[in-house]
Amino acid sequence: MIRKQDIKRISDVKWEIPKSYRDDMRVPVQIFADERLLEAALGDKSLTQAVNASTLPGLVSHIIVMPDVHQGYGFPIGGVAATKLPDGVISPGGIGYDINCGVRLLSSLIPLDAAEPFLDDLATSLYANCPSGVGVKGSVRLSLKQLEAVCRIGSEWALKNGYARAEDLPSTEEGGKVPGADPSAVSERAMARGRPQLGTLGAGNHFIEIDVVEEIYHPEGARAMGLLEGHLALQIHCGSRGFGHQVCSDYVRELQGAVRRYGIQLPDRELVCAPLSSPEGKRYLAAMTCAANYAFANRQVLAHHARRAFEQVLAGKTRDFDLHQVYDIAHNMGKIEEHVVDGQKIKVCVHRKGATRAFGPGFPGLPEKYRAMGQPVLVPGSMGTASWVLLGTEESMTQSFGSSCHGAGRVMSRKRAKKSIRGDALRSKLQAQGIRIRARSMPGLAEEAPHAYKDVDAVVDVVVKAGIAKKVAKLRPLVVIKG
Amino acid sequence: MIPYYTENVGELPFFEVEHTADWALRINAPNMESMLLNAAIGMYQLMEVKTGNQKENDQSIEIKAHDREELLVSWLEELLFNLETREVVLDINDIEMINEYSVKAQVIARPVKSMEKQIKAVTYHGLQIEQTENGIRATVVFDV
Repeated sequence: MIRKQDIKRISDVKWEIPKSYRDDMRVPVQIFADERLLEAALGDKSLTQAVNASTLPGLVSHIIVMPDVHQGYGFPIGGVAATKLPDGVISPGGIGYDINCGVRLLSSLIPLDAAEPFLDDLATSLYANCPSGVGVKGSVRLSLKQLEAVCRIGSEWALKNGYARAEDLPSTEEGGKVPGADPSAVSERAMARGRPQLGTLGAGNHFIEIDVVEEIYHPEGARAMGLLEGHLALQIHCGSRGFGHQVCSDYVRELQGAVRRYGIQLPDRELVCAPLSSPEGKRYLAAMTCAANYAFANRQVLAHHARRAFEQVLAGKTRDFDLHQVYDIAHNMGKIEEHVVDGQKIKVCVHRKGATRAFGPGFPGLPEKYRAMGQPVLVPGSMGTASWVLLGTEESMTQSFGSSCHGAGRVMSRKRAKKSIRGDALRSKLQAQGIRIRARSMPGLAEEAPHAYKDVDAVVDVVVKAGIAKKVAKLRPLVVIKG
Repeated sequence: MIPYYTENVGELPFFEVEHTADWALRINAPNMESMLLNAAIGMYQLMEVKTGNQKENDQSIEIKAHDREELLVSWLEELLFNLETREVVLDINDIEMINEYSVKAQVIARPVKSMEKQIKAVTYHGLQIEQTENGIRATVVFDV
């Protein structure tokens, strides 16, 4: 285990594990954390996993660790790694099984006091309209041909089929369509899992949440995003469902052979990888892109269902019941991007696993309305705590490959969480705080108890102090739908 | 399905171990067949899957791998795939190693009545099948 004395302090919120810590490290590990969050990270294997990730061939600069880091498998959750093209590697385990797991935020002109009498009905309607839970199938049943189209064009498929508005797409990372998808790189098994699941939430830590905008910190940013203090907003957190899980499983297995063929030595088999220039690396990237596009379409269909739920409950009761897309971001993704490393602009594959892209002002790919201020960064809390809306900064481009944190980050195991509180008791406790819960599984709810997570406010304070994001607005939960 | 206990009293066939974000299952078994059987039952228990005695069909499954760890992961993935796409638990009637890294099992597919939790995937993280005094041991981390 890594000890605190192995870590060099760079500032109050930045630390480094030097390359000399272990012989097989290719780059140092930089950690964004305050003293308390660093202690929390030392409490599990997350930093050892970051050191393991630092052994991948072709890495540039540093492995970056976010303040919400926690132990995952292979890479830690809350890690960023950039590998240089053409011969650096791509690692499915560095992106995760839930490819393009991410968050979508929608704003509204609905004041809380007007909506308050209808929040229970909204909770019930969202729960009914947005299929959630284990193994649940959606209302959209895709033919193989339709699924291939979803793979290629993501949110655009949703637009063509009546599940999106034209203005939703520019407010989605990559416009909801990452280029380079090749459905022929996806297995039949993944296709079989993906066909019935579009427009479903899933289980685990995925959720739909109605919030109230509690506080604005950046009026100009909030205005551009349509966030008004005291008004409702909606978050959707989910990913590529069984489709993405199968794509990752297939390639983690396939690349076990690739590491032998390319003579790559790894400290953990979950870190399997292949050079981006190799046939195996290219195929994985093409398949991963299919899953990324599936996830964008999935959140888009869920947003459509959420709009319908709001209309069913609020039409004729509040002056406005519409939901407007603020942004949709990925936090489990591998992206080919240009970054400046050692004074030179180079192409890299940025692996973000439990980390959000946080591009600063002026960067290509940002929608017009955010180009001058940077992209929205969505940091959901933990059911009973605040969520944050941030903005990417120029410094995030120089310090963290244009990345920031993605959530509160777990600190307690699922096993201990469910021993600490029963699901029904947790639901009552949250309801007493004015948070309405709809959940398929009570044991599943208990595993997601807010006290199993770190303090999201402390996490956000670190990224702000480090300069890799700016605060825009704080959201308070009112309704939580869990799988 | 009944798990296969090792001779050593107190060494459970499987149990959950601490993991911050996901689930980890420690599995003990006297041999590879029992390792696969115990891992299957342990995984179904983690997900709190319930079936009745109804039977969808009898079938045979065969998994081939390049090493024992890959065999264990691929075996559990096969069960997960059937659980998600067919909504069945594969109740293992008979299981036999064909060679060091391949297994054949006779199973009864039983429709799922209820399931509380989801496993996204079976990972290779830190996976090593180790020799113990009474058999073999592995710790499988599941992404949930």
